[in-house]
Amino acid sequence: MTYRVRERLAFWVDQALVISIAITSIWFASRIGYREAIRFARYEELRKARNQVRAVEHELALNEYAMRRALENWDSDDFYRVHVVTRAFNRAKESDEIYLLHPDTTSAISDAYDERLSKAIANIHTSGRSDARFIALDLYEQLEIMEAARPLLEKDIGKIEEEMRRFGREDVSASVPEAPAEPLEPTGEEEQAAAFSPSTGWESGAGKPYAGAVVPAFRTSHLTVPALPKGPLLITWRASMPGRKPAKIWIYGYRKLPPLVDLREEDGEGWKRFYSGESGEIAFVLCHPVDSGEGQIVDPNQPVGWRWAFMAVEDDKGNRYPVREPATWRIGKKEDASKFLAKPSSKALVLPKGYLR
Amino acid sequence: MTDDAAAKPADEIEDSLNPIGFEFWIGQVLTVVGVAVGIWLSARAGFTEAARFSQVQDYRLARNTLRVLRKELDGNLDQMRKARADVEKGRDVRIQLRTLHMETAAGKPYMATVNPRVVAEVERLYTDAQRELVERLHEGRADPRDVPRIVKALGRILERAERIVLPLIDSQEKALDQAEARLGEGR
Repeated sequence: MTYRVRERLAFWVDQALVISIAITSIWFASRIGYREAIRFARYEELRKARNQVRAVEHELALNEYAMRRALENWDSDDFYRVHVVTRAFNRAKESDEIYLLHPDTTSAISDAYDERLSKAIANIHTSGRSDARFIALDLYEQLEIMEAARPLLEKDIGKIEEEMRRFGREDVSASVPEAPAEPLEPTGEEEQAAAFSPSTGWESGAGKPYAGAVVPAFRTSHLTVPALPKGPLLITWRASMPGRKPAKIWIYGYRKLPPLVDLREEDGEGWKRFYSGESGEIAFVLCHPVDSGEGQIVDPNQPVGWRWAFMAVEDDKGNRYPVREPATWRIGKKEDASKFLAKPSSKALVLPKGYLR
Repeated sequence: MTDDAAAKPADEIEDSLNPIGFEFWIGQVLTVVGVAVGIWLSARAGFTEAARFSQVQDYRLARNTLRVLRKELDGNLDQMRKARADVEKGRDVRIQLRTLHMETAAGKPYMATVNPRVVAEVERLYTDAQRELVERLHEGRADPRDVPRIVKALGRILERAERIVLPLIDSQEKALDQAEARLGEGR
């Protein structure tokens, strides 16, 4: 083969290779472009979902803050104008990316914005102060559901961002904390109450098993009372135990709503566990001797270390009877039920600072 | 090498000149590898740029939406100011709160990049104004007994708008601008 022939052959081999490289490149580029387009669509879906979930989380935080602020004082503007916004949630629940959330998370948020919440808020505007105490109960319960939903959202956001990281881009969002509100200034009466010396004779009853009788048959929804978190506050109670001699008052402080609704009327064991302070997120269990079927307790702690309280009166035979409708009050110069103000009597018991924990 | 070539006969020299040699194939392989790597890199860069563009687009749309929301709010606040003056003077009040942009803003997916407090606060202002003013008017006139309450409530709403809501919208607009600029600088 002469050099000339070889040169021609080289030229045509080169041309053939150029054409095949061009064809292969186009094919490869379209394949890789398609794959990248799918990757981008997936990434975009994750980013949008993350943004939406973050907005829901932020909105929930905002609502939590508004509710907490409202529940500081049931007579305040913050209470009567409490405003809960659900626009980010409404947008998210109709979005195509909602499937990225765990079903438990969607249920939790949906429970947080349950009809009960809108009813409670509507009640504030229609019935005003007269029902504020009962509305506050509902708001507290909803607030706790909101508080439980937020960690679930954070977990889902974490998972979505973990998946986004696999695409090689770092795009992490963070919860935007609400600026802390100015603390409510204590009144002169509140300052005085905060300085009360604790009554002697308090005993911690946490973990002591209850062996007395169980009195069944009443609605459990009236047995707990929410705190006014700023403190100090006054708790009033009245026992209904005809023919029995009251010997001790028991107060159970809970960090979260105690699981009273789980107690069936006939479930004596459940009640016994409850009286022993073994149910729910207990903050303290205290008892003090009493000789009357009604009384007052001042909690001088600021802020108070519990959110819900359950009370029971023990008779001289060691049997306990739940106190129905205990009530919490802000401490004021004189009684004013419409403003949830009450004046402690000289016989009021004073809880220890720190609750003997 | 020159001496060796001179020593060989001419046809032998021609035989040894092969244009499809080792270098030829190396060249072809390098071309193939270069094209493949180039395509792969451009696809990766395309992905990154597309993601960045999408983010920038979200910020831009959100900022524009905030601007119209702000304009709508300004218009409504002007109406409230005028209504307060009219109520105080016992005149008929004409008020029509416009909430179109607020309603639309809340439904846009890119608004997820904006602090939800903005829409929450604007919504709260409108809800309060509706409850305290619009619902208390009868054929454009306030009951004289309601006048002090309406004036006080409107004062509170306007004060809240100026102290909290408008600065919040401004700060969010600024934050979006900064986020967009940061993405531009990261290129």
